[in-house]
Amino acid sequence: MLYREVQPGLVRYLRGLVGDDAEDLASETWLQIARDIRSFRDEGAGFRGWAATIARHRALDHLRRNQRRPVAGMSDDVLADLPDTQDTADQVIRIAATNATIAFIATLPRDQAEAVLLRVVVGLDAKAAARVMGKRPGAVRTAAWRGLRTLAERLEHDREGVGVTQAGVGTPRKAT
Amino acid sequence: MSIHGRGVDSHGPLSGVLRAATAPAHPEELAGEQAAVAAFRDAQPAPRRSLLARILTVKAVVIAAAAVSTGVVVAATGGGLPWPSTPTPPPAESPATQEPASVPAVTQPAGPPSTSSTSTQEPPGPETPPSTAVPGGGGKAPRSDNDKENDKPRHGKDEDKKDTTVTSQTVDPHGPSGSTQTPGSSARGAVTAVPPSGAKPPSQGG
Repeated sequence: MLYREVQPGLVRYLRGLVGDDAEDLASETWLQIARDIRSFRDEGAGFRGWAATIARHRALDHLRRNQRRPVAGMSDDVLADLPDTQDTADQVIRIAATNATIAFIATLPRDQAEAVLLRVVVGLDAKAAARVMGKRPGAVRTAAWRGLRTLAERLEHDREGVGVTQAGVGTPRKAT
Repeated sequence: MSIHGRGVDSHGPLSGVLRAATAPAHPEELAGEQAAVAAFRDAQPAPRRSLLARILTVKAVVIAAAAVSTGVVVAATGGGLPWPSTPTPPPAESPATQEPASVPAVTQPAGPPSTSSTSTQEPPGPETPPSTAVPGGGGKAPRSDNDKENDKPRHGKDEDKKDTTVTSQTVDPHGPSGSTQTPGSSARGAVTAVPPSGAKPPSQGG
Protein backbone atom coordinates (compact mmCIF):
# COMPACT_ATOMS: atom_id res chain seq x y z
CA MET A 1 0.00 0.00 0.00
CA LEU A 2 0.96 3.59 -0.56
CA TYR A 3 1.10 4.32 3.13
CA ARG A 4 3.58 1.55 3.83
CA GLU A 5 5.78 2.70 0.99
CA VAL A 6 5.87 6.36 1.94
CA GLN A 7 5.39 6.45 5.68
CA PRO A 8 8.84 5.16 6.83
CA GLY A 9 10.78 7.73 4.86
CA LEU A 10 8.31 10.44 5.74
CA VAL A 11 8.43 9.88 9.47
CA ARG A 12 12.22 9.65 9.42
CA TYR A 13 12.46 12.83 7.45
CA LEU A 14 10.22 14.50 10.02
CA ARG A 15 12.29 13.00 12.81
CA GLY A 16 15.35 14.65 11.35
CA LEU A 17 13.53 17.98 11.30
CA VAL A 18 11.55 18.06 14.54
CA GLY A 19 12.77 15.14 16.64
CA ASP A 20 10.36 13.23 18.81
CA ASP A 21 7.29 15.03 17.52
CA ALA A 22 7.68 13.34 14.16
CA GLU A 23 4.96 10.77 14.79
CA ASP A 24 2.32 13.38 15.49
CA LEU A 25 3.35 15.50 12.55
CA ALA A 26 3.28 12.44 10.30
CA SER A 27 -0.29 11.75 11.34
CA GLU A 28 -1.26 15.34 10.62
CA THR A 29 0.50 15.10 7.29
CA TRP A 30 -1.49 12.05 6.28
CA LEU A 31 -4.71 13.71 7.28
CA GLN A 32 -3.88 16.62 5.03
CA ILE A 33 -2.84 14.25 2.25
CA ALA A 34 -6.17 12.45 2.47
CA ARG A 35 -8.02 15.75 2.44
CA ASP A 36 -6.13 17.24 -0.50
CA ILE A 37 -5.48 14.10 -2.52
CA ARG A 38 -7.91 15.22 -5.23
CA SER A 39 -5.94 18.38 -5.78
CA PHE A 40 -2.67 16.50 -6.20
CA ARG A 41 -0.90 17.21 -9.49
CA ASP A 42 2.40 15.57 -10.27
CA GLU A 43 4.73 18.46 -10.98
CA GLY A 44 7.88 16.38 -11.23
CA ALA A 45 8.42 15.33 -7.65
CA GLY A 46 5.77 12.62 -7.64
CA PHE A 47 3.63 11.63 -4.74
CA ARG A 48 6.60 11.23 -2.44
CA GLY A 49 7.72 14.74 -3.18
CA TRP A 50 4.23 16.10 -2.65
CA ALA A 51 3.92 14.28 0.66
CA ALA A 52 7.37 15.48 1.68
CA THR A 53 6.39 19.05 0.84
CA ILE A 54 3.34 18.82 3.06
CA ALA A 55 5.39 17.27 5.83
CA ARG A 56 8.03 19.97 5.47
CA HIS A 57 5.49 22.74 5.82
CA ARG A 58 4.10 21.07 8.90
CA ALA A 59 7.55 20.71 10.35
CA LEU A 60 8.50 24.31 9.70
CA ASP A 61 5.32 25.51 11.34
CA HIS A 62 6.06 23.27 14.27
CA LEU A 63 9.59 24.62 14.58
CA ARG A 64 8.38 28.17 14.41
CA ARG A 65 6.05 27.50 17.28
CA ASN A 66 8.60 25.73 19.42
CA GLN A 67 11.80 27.45 18.30
CA ARG A 68 14.00 24.46 18.81
CA ARG A 69 15.97 21.94 16.85
CA PRO A 70 16.21 18.22 17.49
CA VAL A 71 19.19 16.88 19.40
CA ALA A 72 21.07 13.71 18.80
CA GLY A 73 19.87 10.76 20.84
CA MET A 74 23.16 8.90 20.73
CA SER A 75 26.77 9.80 20.58
CA ASP A 76 28.79 9.44 17.43
CA ASP A 77 30.78 6.66 19.10
CA VAL A 78 27.75 4.39 18.98
CA LEU A 79 27.12 5.18 15.33
CA ALA A 80 30.75 4.49 14.43
CA ASP A 81 30.40 0.84 15.40
CA LEU A 82 26.82 0.45 14.16
CA PRO A 83 26.28 -3.17 13.12
CA ASP A 84 24.80 -4.15 9.81
CA THR A 85 21.02 -4.43 9.85
CA GLN A 86 21.28 -7.78 8.15
CA ASP A 87 22.97 -9.17 11.19
CA THR A 88 20.82 -7.46 13.79
CA ALA A 89 18.19 -9.71 15.25
CA ASP A 90 16.82 -7.52 17.96
CA GLN A 91 14.14 -5.24 16.66
CA VAL A 92 14.56 -2.77 19.45
CA ILE A 93 18.17 -2.31 18.56
CA ARG A 94 17.26 -1.72 14.94
CA ILE A 95 14.71 0.89 15.84
CA ALA A 96 17.20 2.57 18.12
CA ALA A 97 19.84 2.41 15.42
CA THR A 98 17.50 3.97 12.87
CA ASN A 99 16.49 6.75 15.21
CA ALA A 100 20.10 7.33 16.21
CA THR A 101 21.11 7.51 12.58
CA ILE A 102 18.43 10.08 11.81
CA ALA A 103 19.44 12.09 14.83
CA PHE A 104 23.04 11.91 13.72
CA ILE A 105 22.13 13.23 10.29
CA ALA A 106 20.14 15.99 11.94
CA THR A 107 23.31 17.33 13.54
CA LEU A 108 24.42 18.57 10.14
CA PRO A 109 23.70 22.09 9.02
CA ARG A 110 20.07 22.54 8.17
CA ASP A 111 20.22 22.46 4.37
CA GLN A 112 22.74 19.59 4.32
CA ALA A 113 20.71 17.48 6.73
CA GLU A 114 17.54 18.10 4.79
CA ALA A 115 19.20 17.29 1.49
CA VAL A 116 20.58 14.03 2.84
CA LEU A 117 17.27 13.04 4.36
CA LEU A 118 15.30 13.77 1.22
CA ARG A 119 17.72 12.01 -1.08
CA VAL A 120 18.77 9.05 1.05
CA VAL A 121 15.87 8.45 3.44
CA VAL A 122 12.85 9.59 1.45
CA GLY A 123 14.37 8.43 -1.82
CA LEU A 124 13.88 11.51 -3.98
CA ASP A 125 16.20 12.46 -6.81
CA ALA A 126 17.96 15.79 -6.89
CA LYS A 127 15.26 17.48 -8.93
CA ALA A 128 12.40 16.35 -6.71
CA ALA A 129 14.32 17.21 -3.57
CA ALA A 130 15.04 20.64 -5.00
CA ARG A 131 11.33 21.19 -5.55
CA VAL A 132 10.60 20.24 -1.99
CA MET A 133 13.28 22.49 -0.59
CA GLY A 134 12.65 25.32 -2.99
CA LYS A 135 16.21 25.29 -4.32
CA ARG A 136 17.99 24.43 -7.50
CA PRO A 137 18.94 20.81 -8.11
CA GLY A 138 22.63 21.68 -8.22
CA ALA A 139 22.44 23.26 -4.80
CA VAL A 140 20.72 20.21 -3.43
CA ARG A 141 23.34 17.89 -4.89
CA THR A 142 26.10 19.95 -3.37
CA ALA A 143 24.41 20.09 0.02
CA ALA A 144 23.83 16.35 0.06
CA TRP A 145 27.39 15.58 -0.95
CA ARG A 146 28.80 17.90 1.71
CA GLY A 147 26.53 16.45 4.33
CA LEU A 148 27.55 12.89 3.60
CA ARG A 149 31.14 13.89 3.49
CA THR A 150 30.84 15.52 6.86
CA LEU A 151 29.19 12.46 8.34
CA ALA A 152 31.91 10.20 6.97
CA GLU A 153 34.64 12.44 8.39
CA ARG A 154 33.01 12.46 11.78
CA LEU A 155 32.75 8.72 11.83
CA GLU A 156 36.35 8.32 10.72
CA HIS A 157 37.46 10.82 13.30
CA ASP A 158 35.61 8.97 16.02
CA ARG A 159 37.13 5.68 14.98
CA GLU A 160 40.58 7.13 14.85
CA GLY A 161 40.03 8.75 18.18
CA VAL A 162 38.97 5.50 19.70
CA GLY A 163 41.85 3.68 18.08
CA VAL A 164 44.35 6.26 19.25
CA THR A 165 42.97 6.09 22.71
CA GLN A 166 43.12 2.37 22.77
CA ALA A 167 46.62 2.42 21.27
CA GLY A 168 47.71 4.99 23.81
CA VAL A 169 46.38 2.92 26.61
CA GLY A 170 47.99 -0.22 25.34
CA THR A 171 51.36 1.33 24.54
CA PRO A 172 53.72 1.45 27.40
CA ARG A 173 54.87 4.95 28.10
CA LYS A 174 58.59 5.45 27.77
CA ALA A 175 60.34 7.14 30.51
CA THR A 176 62.19 10.20 29.56
CA MET B 1 23.34 4.96 -4.65
CA SER B 2 24.72 7.69 -6.82
CA ILE B 3 25.65 9.73 -3.83
CA HIS B 4 28.09 7.10 -2.84
CA GLY B 5 29.91 7.33 -6.11
CA ARG B 6 30.72 11.00 -5.65
CA GLY B 7 33.65 10.64 -3.39
CA VAL B 8 31.91 9.25 -0.30
CA ASP B 9 33.24 5.93 0.81
CA SER B 10 30.47 3.41 0.42
CA HIS B 11 32.34 0.70 2.27
CA GLY B 12 33.27 2.70 5.31
CA PRO B 13 31.33 3.27 8.48
CA LEU B 14 28.99 5.60 6.64
CA SER B 15 27.47 2.67 4.79
CA GLY B 16 26.16 1.25 8.05
CA VAL B 17 24.63 4.58 8.93
CA LEU B 18 22.87 4.86 5.59
CA ARG B 19 21.60 1.31 5.78
CA ALA B 20 20.16 2.00 9.20
CA ALA B 21 18.53 5.16 7.89
CA THR B 22 16.92 3.29 5.00
CA ALA B 23 15.99 0.17 6.93
CA PRO B 24 12.59 -1.41 6.28
CA ALA B 25 9.64 0.00 8.07
CA HIS B 26 9.34 -0.83 11.72
CA PRO B 27 5.93 -1.72 13.13
CA GLU B 28 6.07 1.33 15.36
CA GLU B 29 6.39 3.55 12.35
CA LEU B 30 3.24 2.14 10.82
CA ALA B 31 1.10 2.58 13.89
CA GLY B 32 -0.95 5.30 12.25
CA GLU B 33 -1.96 3.22 9.27
CA GLN B 34 -5.53 2.68 10.38
CA ALA B 35 -6.02 6.35 11.05
CA ALA B 36 -4.66 7.21 7.62
CA VAL B 37 -6.93 4.66 5.95
CA ALA B 38 -9.91 6.05 7.83
CA ALA B 39 -8.96 9.55 6.75
CA PHE B 40 -8.81 8.46 3.12
CA ARG B 41 -12.18 6.77 3.41
CA ASP B 42 -13.73 9.83 4.94
CA ALA B 43 -12.29 11.98 2.20
CA GLN B 44 -13.74 9.81 -0.54
CA PRO B 45 -16.22 11.69 -2.71
CA ALA B 46 -19.83 10.70 -2.59
CA PRO B 47 -20.86 8.04 -5.08
CA ARG B 48 -22.04 9.39 -8.38
CA ARG B 49 -25.18 7.34 -8.29
CA SER B 50 -26.37 8.95 -5.13
CA LEU B 51 -25.84 12.36 -6.67
CA LEU B 52 -27.82 11.32 -9.72
CA ALA B 53 -30.55 9.91 -7.54
CA ARG B 54 -30.66 13.15 -5.64
CA ILE B 55 -31.05 15.15 -8.83
CA LEU B 56 -33.77 12.85 -10.10
CA THR B 57 -35.58 13.07 -6.82
CA VAL B 58 -35.54 16.84 -6.95
CA LYS B 59 -36.81 16.78 -10.52
CA ALA B 60 -39.58 14.38 -9.63
CA VAL B 61 -40.68 16.57 -6.75
CA VAL B 62 -40.69 19.67 -8.93
CA ILE B 63 -42.67 17.96 -11.69
CA ALA B 64 -45.18 16.58 -9.22
CA ALA B 65 -45.64 19.98 -7.62
CA ALA B 66 -46.12 21.62 -11.00
CA ALA B 67 -48.64 18.99 -12.07
CA VAL B 68 -50.63 19.33 -8.90
CA SER B 69 -50.70 23.10 -9.05
CA THR B 70 -51.67 23.07 -12.73
CA GLY B 71 -54.46 20.62 -12.07
CA VAL B 72 -55.82 22.73 -9.29
CA VAL B 73 -55.79 25.83 -11.44
CA VAL B 74 -57.48 24.08 -14.33
CA ALA B 75 -60.10 22.58 -12.11
CA ALA B 76 -60.75 25.89 -10.45
CA THR B 77 -61.11 27.78 -13.70
CA GLY B 78 -63.23 25.07 -15.28
CA GLY B 79 -65.69 24.99 -12.46
CA GLY B 80 -64.80 21.53 -11.42
CA LEU B 81 -64.19 22.48 -7.88
CA PRO B 82 -67.08 23.17 -5.53
CA TRP B 83 -66.65 26.60 -4.16
CA PRO B 84 -67.71 26.93 -0.59
CA SER B 85 -68.99 30.45 -1.15
CA THR B 86 -71.57 29.34 -3.68
CA PRO B 87 -74.28 27.22 -2.15
CA THR B 88 -75.18 24.29 -4.27
CA PRO B 89 -78.88 24.23 -4.90
CA PRO B 90 -80.68 20.97 -4.57
CA PRO B 91 -81.42 19.15 -7.78
CA ALA B 92 -85.03 20.10 -7.70
CA GLU B 93 -84.21 23.77 -7.41
CA SER B 94 -81.76 24.38 -10.14
CA PRO B 95 -81.66 27.86 -11.55
CA ALA B 96 -83.70 26.96 -14.55
CA THR B 97 -86.25 28.93 -16.37
CA GLN B 98 -89.14 28.35 -14.15
CA GLU B 99 -91.82 30.75 -13.61
CA PRO B 100 -94.27 30.91 -10.84
CA ALA B 101 -97.36 28.87 -11.11
CA SER B 102 -99.41 31.89 -11.77
CA VAL B 103 -97.65 32.42 -15.03
CA PRO B 104 -99.29 30.68 -17.88
CA ALA B 105 -97.66 27.57 -19.00
CA VAL B 106 -95.37 27.48 -21.94
CA THR B 107 -95.85 24.76 -24.37
CA GLN B 108 -92.96 22.91 -25.77
CA PRO B 109 -92.48 23.60 -29.39
CA ALA B 110 -91.85 20.04 -30.38
CA GLY B 111 -94.00 18.46 -27.82
CA PRO B 112 -97.06 16.46 -28.51
CA PRO B 113 -100.45 17.81 -27.96
CA SER B 114 -100.49 18.51 -24.33
CA THR B 115 -103.34 17.53 -22.20
CA SER B 116 -102.50 20.11 -19.69
CA SER B 117 -102.72 23.75 -20.24
CA THR B 118 -100.46 24.81 -17.41
CA SER B 119 -97.23 23.02 -17.77
CA THR B 120 -93.76 24.25 -18.17
CA GLN B 121 -91.30 22.03 -19.85
CA GLU B 122 -87.58 21.98 -19.80
CA PRO B 123 -85.52 20.92 -22.73
CA PRO B 124 -85.37 17.23 -23.29
CA GLY B 125 -83.51 15.33 -20.65
CA PRO B 126 -84.30 11.70 -20.77
CA GLU B 127 -81.47 10.78 -18.48
CA THR B 128 -82.40 13.15 -15.76
CA PRO B 129 -84.47 11.61 -13.06
CA PRO B 130 -87.72 13.19 -12.24
CA SER B 131 -87.41 15.91 -9.77
CA THR B 132 -90.91 16.26 -8.71
CA ALA B 133 -93.98 14.22 -8.82
CA VAL B 134 -97.28 15.34 -9.80
CA PRO B 135 -99.59 15.73 -6.89
CA GLY B 136 -101.98 13.00 -6.77
CA GLY B 137 -100.03 10.70 -8.92
CA GLY B 138 -101.06 12.28 -12.13
CA GLY B 139 -102.62 10.70 -15.06
CA LYS B 140 -101.17 8.44 -17.59
CA ALA B 141 -100.39 9.68 -20.99
CA PRO B 142 -101.92 8.04 -23.93
CA ARG B 143 -99.83 5.18 -25.01
CA SER B 144 -100.27 5.82 -28.61
CA ASP B 145 -98.82 9.29 -28.48
CA ASN B 146 -95.76 8.22 -26.64
CA ASP B 147 -95.01 5.42 -29.03
CA LYS B 148 -95.16 7.71 -31.88
CA GLU B 149 -92.93 10.38 -30.56
CA ASN B 150 -90.42 8.37 -28.70
CA ASP B 151 -87.52 7.31 -30.86
CA LYS B 152 -85.48 5.96 -27.96
CA PRO B 153 -86.47 2.42 -27.34
CA ARG B 154 -84.25 2.02 -24.30
CA HIS B 155 -86.65 3.95 -22.15
CA GLY B 156 -89.37 1.42 -22.41
CA LYS B 157 -92.24 1.33 -20.03
CA ASP B 158 -90.33 2.78 -17.18
CA GLU B 159 -89.69 5.85 -19.12
CA ASP B 160 -93.28 5.98 -20.06
CA LYS B 161 -94.23 5.77 -16.47
CA LYS B 162 -91.91 8.55 -15.64
CA ASP B 163 -93.34 10.59 -18.39
CA THR B 164 -96.74 10.10 -17.12
CA THR B 165 -95.85 11.17 -13.67
CA VAL B 166 -93.10 13.63 -14.16
CA THR B 167 -93.75 17.00 -15.38
CA SER B 168 -92.51 20.38 -14.79
CA GLN B 169 -93.14 21.61 -11.37
CA THR B 170 -93.21 24.94 -9.85
CA VAL B 171 -91.45 24.59 -6.63
CA ASP B 172 -91.65 27.73 -4.73
CA PRO B 173 -92.50 30.98 -6.26
CA HIS B 174 -91.08 32.82 -3.29
CA GLY B 175 -87.87 30.89 -3.10
CA PRO B 176 -84.52 32.09 -4.19
CA SER B 177 -84.45 30.08 -7.34
CA GLY B 178 -87.93 29.02 -8.02
CA SER B 179 -86.89 26.57 -10.59
CA THR B 180 -87.87 23.11 -11.49
CA GLN B 181 -85.88 20.35 -12.97
CA THR B 182 -88.00 18.65 -15.52
CA PRO B 183 -86.89 15.37 -16.86
CA GLY B 184 -88.25 13.30 -19.56
CA SER B 185 -88.60 13.86 -23.18
CA SER B 186 -90.31 16.86 -24.46
CA ALA B 187 -92.83 14.75 -26.27
CA ARG B 188 -94.24 13.36 -23.13
CA GLY B 189 -93.56 16.03 -20.63
CA ALA B 190 -96.54 18.20 -20.52
CA VAL B 191 -99.10 15.84 -19.23
CA THR B 192 -99.78 17.16 -15.78
CA ALA B 193 -100.80 20.34 -14.36
CA VAL B 194 -98.77 22.52 -12.16
CA PRO B 195 -99.97 22.70 -8.61
CA PRO B 196 -101.35 25.87 -7.34
CA SER B 197 -99.14 28.66 -6.49
CA GLY B 198 -97.44 28.40 -3.17
CA ALA B 199 -97.75 24.69 -3.05
CA LYS B 200 -95.03 22.80 -1.43
CA PRO B 201 -92.99 20.77 -3.79
CA PRO B 202 -93.68 17.13 -3.43
CA SER B 203 -91.03 14.75 -2.51
CA GLN B 204 -89.03 13.09 -5.16
CA GLY B 205 -89.44 9.55 -6.14
CA GLY B 206 -93.16 9.54 -6.68
